[in-house]
Amino acid sequence: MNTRLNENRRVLAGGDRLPAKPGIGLKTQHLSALIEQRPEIGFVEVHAENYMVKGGARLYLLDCVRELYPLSIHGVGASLGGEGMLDETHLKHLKQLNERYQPQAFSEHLAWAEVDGRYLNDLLPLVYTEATLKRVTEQVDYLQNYLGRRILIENPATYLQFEMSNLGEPEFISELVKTSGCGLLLDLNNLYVTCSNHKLETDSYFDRLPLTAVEEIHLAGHSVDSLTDGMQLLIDSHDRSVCEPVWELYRKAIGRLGALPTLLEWDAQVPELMALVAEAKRADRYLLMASEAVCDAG
Amino acid sequence: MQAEFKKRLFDRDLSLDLIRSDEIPSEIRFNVYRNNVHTSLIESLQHSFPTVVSLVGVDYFSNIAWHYIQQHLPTTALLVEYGVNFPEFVCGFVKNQKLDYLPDVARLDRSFIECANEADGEAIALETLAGWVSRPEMFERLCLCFTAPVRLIRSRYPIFSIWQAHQKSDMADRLSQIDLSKSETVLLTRPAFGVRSHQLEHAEAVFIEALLMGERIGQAVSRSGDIDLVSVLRLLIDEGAISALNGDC
Repeated sequence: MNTRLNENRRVLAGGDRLPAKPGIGLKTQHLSALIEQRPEIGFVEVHAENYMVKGGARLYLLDCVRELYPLSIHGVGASLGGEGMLDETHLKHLKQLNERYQPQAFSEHLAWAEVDGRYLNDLLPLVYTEATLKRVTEQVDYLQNYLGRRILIENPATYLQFEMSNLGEPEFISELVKTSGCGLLLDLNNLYVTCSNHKLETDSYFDRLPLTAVEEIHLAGHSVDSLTDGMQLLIDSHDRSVCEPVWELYRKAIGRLGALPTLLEWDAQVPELMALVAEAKRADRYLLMASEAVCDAG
Repeated sequence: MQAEFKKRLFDRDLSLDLIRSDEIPSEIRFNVYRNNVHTSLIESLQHSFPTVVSLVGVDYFSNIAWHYIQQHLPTTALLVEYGVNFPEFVCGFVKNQKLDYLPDVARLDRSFIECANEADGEAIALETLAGWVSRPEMFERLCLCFTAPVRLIRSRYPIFSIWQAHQKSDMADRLSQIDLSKSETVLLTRPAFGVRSHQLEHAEAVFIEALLMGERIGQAVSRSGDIDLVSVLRLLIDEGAISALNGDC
């Protein structure tokens, strides 16, 4: 009695790449509203692990969404920075999702989450050394070969640095991109949070990244943990709108890089769908200005 | 190094000298990760066991979940599978309290998640059964194959009534009116994409349980006793619970 879309009849939205427009992080609670309201957005992005189920409404609704919008699948659990082998079952699930939904982009994180067969459900920080670089490059390479596609890796938000690290994060990312051939998902909120937490200059960090490899931008909100003596830690909480300094970074970034697919993320205390769409519209205005500036220069 | 990092997420007595020190104490920096790991896993369990959360309150539930996490971390990134043995864990936690029904309510919550996410599959139509009814000797020898989402949850407690009360805004009032000495059995089905729940009479529960164990219709009827066979079979088929009839078992 269950209905499934006839695979042969499916017409997927979009071309081979994500459009250089704003998209929204699609929460499972917004699936039906998105299909009914069909807001004007460039694409949607979903977390891979939320769709690693055998069947049911979730998969079916994403089938429907895929016919309406270009799609980015964003993994949070592959643990590419892990010291152990990648989990073959997890990779199989990723491959099945890629085959079913044929997303325009697939991305993962520069982080680890699994050790000794236990999954910690957080994006944990890496020690930046040559040894880690070699290991992560091999894992990214393995995943790209397994999926048969180029993947994007997202720069992390971190709260600590390790004594043992002897490479800068932008240099580590540049070398990873160069050696593995992966693209960069530039998360500007992560960049802002990391720079603030480690007293780094955002402009300098940005300049040291492999900018020609950026294929997508992420924007999100963060919270501020105020400590004693005026010190603070920024937390990548995704529970509010994007702050003004991150919007400023965004305008500068697309001013230099040109218009790029831009995702608005909101993962906790999630508002109504249209509140996310409103954030996306603001990004759209800046993207339009960046495109006009390029035309004027031309 | 990552194993050492993990140990420190759960043991606050271990040194944090692996962290580069600066004016912000290492303890504060590391606590962000401790908090992220615990909070996200507690939230995942809250999401999977909503009725249990309503019954005991968020704070008490978070306390149970915190203890669960210390002993049972997820083994994969598929959080939809996390908490499979949480109902048994709850059992040890609520011992000697007036919440004996809580583990069974947790099993019901868990079953809702499983039912919603099980594989899709074709279910048979009523006409398929009609061809067998006219041949009673063969009909009694039939076994039924169930679709993947079907779940049957039997309890010594009125778990269906408790779950129903949880769906309403005046849960406390409704709970106080429930006779806790009553046993209830719940059948979960997924005829299209929404999970549906059905409270079963005792004989119906025995009958369906026997069928789920692979017994023939005739055996299941003799086990359950007095039962309206037509209406139970109609319910199962209308609810998309049957994927095939097997006459050779």
